[in-house]
Amino acid sequence: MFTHMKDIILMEFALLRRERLFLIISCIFLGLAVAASFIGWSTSNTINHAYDLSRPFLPQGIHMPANPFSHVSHLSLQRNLSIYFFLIGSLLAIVIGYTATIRDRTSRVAMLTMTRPLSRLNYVSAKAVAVATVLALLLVISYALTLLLCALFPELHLSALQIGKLGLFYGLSWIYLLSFGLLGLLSGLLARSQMLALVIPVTVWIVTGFVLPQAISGLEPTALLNPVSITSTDQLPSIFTSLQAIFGPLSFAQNYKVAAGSLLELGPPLVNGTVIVGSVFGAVVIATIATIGAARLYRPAEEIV
Amino acid sequence: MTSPTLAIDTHQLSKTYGLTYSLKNLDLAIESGEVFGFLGHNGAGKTTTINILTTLLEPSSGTASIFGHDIIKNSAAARHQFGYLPENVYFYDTMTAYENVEYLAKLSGIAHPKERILEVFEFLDFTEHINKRVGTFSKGMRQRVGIAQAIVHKPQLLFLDEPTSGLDPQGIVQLRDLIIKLNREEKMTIFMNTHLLSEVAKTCTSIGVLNHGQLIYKDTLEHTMERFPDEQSLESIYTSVERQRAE
Repeated sequence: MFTHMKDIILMEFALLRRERLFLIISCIFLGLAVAASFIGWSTSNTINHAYDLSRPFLPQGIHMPANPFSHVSHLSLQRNLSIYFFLIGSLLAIVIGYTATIRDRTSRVAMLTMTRPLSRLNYVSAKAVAVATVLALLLVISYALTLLLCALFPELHLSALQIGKLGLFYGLSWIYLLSFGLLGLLSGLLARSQMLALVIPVTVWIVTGFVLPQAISGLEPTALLNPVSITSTDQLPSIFTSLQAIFGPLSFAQNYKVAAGSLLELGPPLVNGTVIVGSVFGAVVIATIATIGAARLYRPAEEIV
Repeated sequence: MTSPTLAIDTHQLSKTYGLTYSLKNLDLAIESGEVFGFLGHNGAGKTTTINILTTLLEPSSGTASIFGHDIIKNSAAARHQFGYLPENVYFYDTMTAYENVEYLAKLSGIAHPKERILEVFEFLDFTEHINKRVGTFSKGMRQRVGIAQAIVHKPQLLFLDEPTSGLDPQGIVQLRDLIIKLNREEKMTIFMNTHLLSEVAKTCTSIGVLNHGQLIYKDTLEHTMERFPDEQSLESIYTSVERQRAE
């Protein structure tokens, strides 16, 4: 059933290696892993330094308050990763998925490919596996870079448990990014025009990443970028309570940020862990089912504008 | 049971878009070894026919088989039998001619296609360009790579959709010679959509005329010339067939 998958996957890798846009965004994506560690290290260093400098200026007999950073988890210093993955990572995933299918349609290679003895499901599955593998590879490199920087700077040292939690965070991020990758792939496969094929996943990204978190948080700006839980519903007007009940589980971008925040030791363990992680997993399951469905609807002879 | 000697066999093959027929009740039988020229005005349904026969498009009704393999029920087996060169063939521009053909050869089921690819490019007199990126190629060079991918898996049947479209006179002559060579040396059956009736006269053994999705004429080229002795050229025959039909 799944013959030729390897050939399609290997070709996709070879093509991506020669795509300038993919290479640029990938470099930025990997650079952000370095930036997250640097910002964490710099923040920690600056506050510790300021604390040490202020010590001699305290008058005699005044109790020196504890260093606010002395109890901060080293893993939480990597907090910016979740924001970067949410912002840049999802766009990268959309580009990878979109490129994988739109390239074949605009170049009309799809017409040559689909006259070979392979099924449409076979073709679409191979493209999906290629997208998933490329995303996994980028995340593995990012994970390795982060671990390397944590090993190099004592302020960022991680325990074995924290290394495991960071790995889980990367696993969760892969699932999150995969949903956008598959969405891009699906859109590139079925949309009538190149423009529409890009607009659809970007709109989903905006709605799930910005509109829904704002709607369910009572328009609190902190919900937009920070990996923190939404304020308790008790304090919100009833309309937002209703919105949170309806759209909370659907807001998988917000749920990803909260779950990621918890894994990066930014706050207490997840209260609604099952719902939140289920929401992120649900997104990728829906995207996978939709991709299989799209294989049936795919018309390789249809021209794209 | 379809005769295995028939390269193409269609029965009442139709394709509709809404209430409009793009192809209507096409009954077509093409013997193995023929070079069949499929003629018709723009929008007559020629490309729709090729798209259906190459399994890129599903028919609305009717049946079709390639060397006895039903294109719907046994599409994978049918696909093994033919090669396809679309009008305006494109490839992955960032890959070389060799890489593009290798990819498509592997998808055709050739596990180690290197030897065969080199053989095909040599047959096409294109060996010196195989390691160049397709993005740098002219229309004629792309056409050669297009033919390479279409014949790399040694199909028995070759579909050519407007193969001379956009080629310069020299390219047209080269392509005509190639079609004759493929038919005579490689024993391939050729199904060719074209506008250039002068090329049909030089390459085809039989012709069919499609008008508004309906096959209005089919015969061997020899009989056609006998049937219309007063006509000066194939263009005149084509016009005559359409005129007779209208009357």
